Amino acid sequence: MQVESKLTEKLQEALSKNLLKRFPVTFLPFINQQLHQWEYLFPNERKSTERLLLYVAQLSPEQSVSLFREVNELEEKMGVRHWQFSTAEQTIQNSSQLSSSPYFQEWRRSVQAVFDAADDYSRRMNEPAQKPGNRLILLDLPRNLPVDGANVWRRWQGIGRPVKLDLALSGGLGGAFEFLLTGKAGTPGAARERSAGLLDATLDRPQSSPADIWLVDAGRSLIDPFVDRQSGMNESRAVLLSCARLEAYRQNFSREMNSMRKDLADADAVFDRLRKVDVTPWCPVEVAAHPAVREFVRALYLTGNGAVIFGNSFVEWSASEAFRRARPSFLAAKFGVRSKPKPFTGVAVFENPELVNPLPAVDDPAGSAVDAQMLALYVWLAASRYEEYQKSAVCVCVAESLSEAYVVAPPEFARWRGPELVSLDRFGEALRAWIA
Amino acid sequence: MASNKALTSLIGASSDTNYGPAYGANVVFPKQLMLQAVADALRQGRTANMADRNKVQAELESAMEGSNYEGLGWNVFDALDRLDPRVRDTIQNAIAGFVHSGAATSGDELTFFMSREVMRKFAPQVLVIAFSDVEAAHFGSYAFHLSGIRTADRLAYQLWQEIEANPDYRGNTTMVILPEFGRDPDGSSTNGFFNHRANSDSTRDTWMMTLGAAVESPQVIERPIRHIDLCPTLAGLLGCRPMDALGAKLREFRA
Repeated sequence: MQVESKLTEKLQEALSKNLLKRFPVTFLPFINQQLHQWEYLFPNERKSTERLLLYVAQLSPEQSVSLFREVNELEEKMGVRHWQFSTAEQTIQNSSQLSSSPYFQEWRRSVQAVFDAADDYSRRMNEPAQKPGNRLILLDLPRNLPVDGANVWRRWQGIGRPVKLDLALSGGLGGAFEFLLTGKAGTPGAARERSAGLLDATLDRPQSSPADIWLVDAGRSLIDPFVDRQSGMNESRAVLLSCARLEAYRQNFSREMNSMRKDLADADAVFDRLRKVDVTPWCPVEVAAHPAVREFVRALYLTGNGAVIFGNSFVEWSASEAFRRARPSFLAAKFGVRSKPKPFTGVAVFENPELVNPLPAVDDPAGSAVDAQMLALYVWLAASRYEEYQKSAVCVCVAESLSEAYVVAPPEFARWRGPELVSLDRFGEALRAWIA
Repeated sequence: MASNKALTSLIGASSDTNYGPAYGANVVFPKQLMLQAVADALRQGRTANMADRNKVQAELESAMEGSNYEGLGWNVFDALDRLDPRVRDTIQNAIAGFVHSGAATSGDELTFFMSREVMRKFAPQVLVIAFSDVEAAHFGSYAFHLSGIRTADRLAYQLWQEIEANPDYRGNTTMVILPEFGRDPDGSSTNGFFNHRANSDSTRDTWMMTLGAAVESPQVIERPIRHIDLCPTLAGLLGCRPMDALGAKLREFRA
């Protein structure tokens, strides 16, 4: 099978020995789907699936019976064998049957225990070889989002601390976010002597792997320079997502969604169509080139959460899904300004507002700032659900209009106290040292 | 009156033939009317009309008259695809008020105008109004979510003003305001305020406010109230015979 040829030899060998027969039925939709979509998985997802399969493969028959005893007993109580249950892929019907069962929560805990056992085993085997590296999340509330210095960080509830950035000491540069990211400021890509930025530091890491670096933008100014230059960074080592550059992809999805009649059967049909349609012609080059990223965007749009509607929601949901699926070492995300809803036609959220109403679009910086402040916090909260980020990640949210950053960091990260101004150079240096 | 048609058009009546459609409520989906008007204008190349209030009114009326008005609601009224003249007048008045009031132009605003017109023309004994601007939260705009809350708050007050001004309702009406649910907690795997499906108190626990004939005097009740107690309580207010329901009547309500 073509997909299997991309699996590691070890895994192929295990699968050829009827490994899947050892698994309870309710594991199969997930495992089969992962194996069939192997080329669309990020390295972290592949490793996770491989960890589970190879762990079970090395167990004796008695040990695997013991490992799955609780799940098998619950499946019996749930009556899974009488269900219309797909073992090939995860379906809405599967999820519905599972979640309707009174044993659902118990089942989830038992399944998680199996994954935990596989992870523990892997850690024990690999402990001397791999030490998890530090991680960094850099968020930008750009200058055109007006934020109130008195309460901009209120929702973060003191989990970090604000740091005043002294841009003057850094040569009076305009964009703190861009300076930190690329080591320069002003027009992206413009010729200027530059120091090393966080991107350089991350790319230079010896363990840097595909999908380890993500840049996500509500607009396009963050991504355009990297695509245009085709230099300065190895494309295959960074995922570049710009909501504005994905406009054709987004519009085609919106149009389909808007065609949905208000019944479940039609919704299923539309989603089925969108799951299968060839999206490549709608993709910008940086997305079209990478099957996993192309499919990531499809899944992102299909799971909603406003990613297809608002640029800032796209940023938040992309980042959240990136953490869940790819566990990047470095993610930089830039929020932006959306328009106000147009009179009378604002209800048609899946329609292109420019098409349904000729009134000119009016920016909503104040509303966009409210959205972005909340969503920036959500990006950090999404990351902090995972062990990889809980102890070794620094999150920096820059409010450009205040020349201020909010820093959430473990104790060993450089700390600044009181009202002291920190030069952008020094701040960037500390972040580079952290991620290097 | 439901701003949001969601995924069902049969929210007015049970599908059980013994006590279903023949006894069901009349249902109107004002927001769906707006969506229909936008779709019609787009399909027929008249989107320029959506920038002109007078023409917006014509578009909304045209959508109302369209042969598929059944899809907009009124499923169990006398006519399924032809509007009763009184209903047509009611909706036309509501549309005119909505378009020319100078007020905001969201779906909830039209729902309010329709509700008020229905109260004035039909004075129904039971009127359930569902506002849904707050659901912009699903698309991740916290600003729109907050704006939807403020709009619902204002419109609820305007409805109460109508109750006090309308002789059919004044002095004999109880208004119950219920947020449908809370939102998922910040940091939840279900993406916080975007959704309402987490197994958490933040999603389940909410408040309720009651005004009017059924309450003795202003008071705050802090004890938790089970939502299953509301149906028998509200049915009791209407003089329905005791129901075969799990919940019990709330003692704070005057029957």
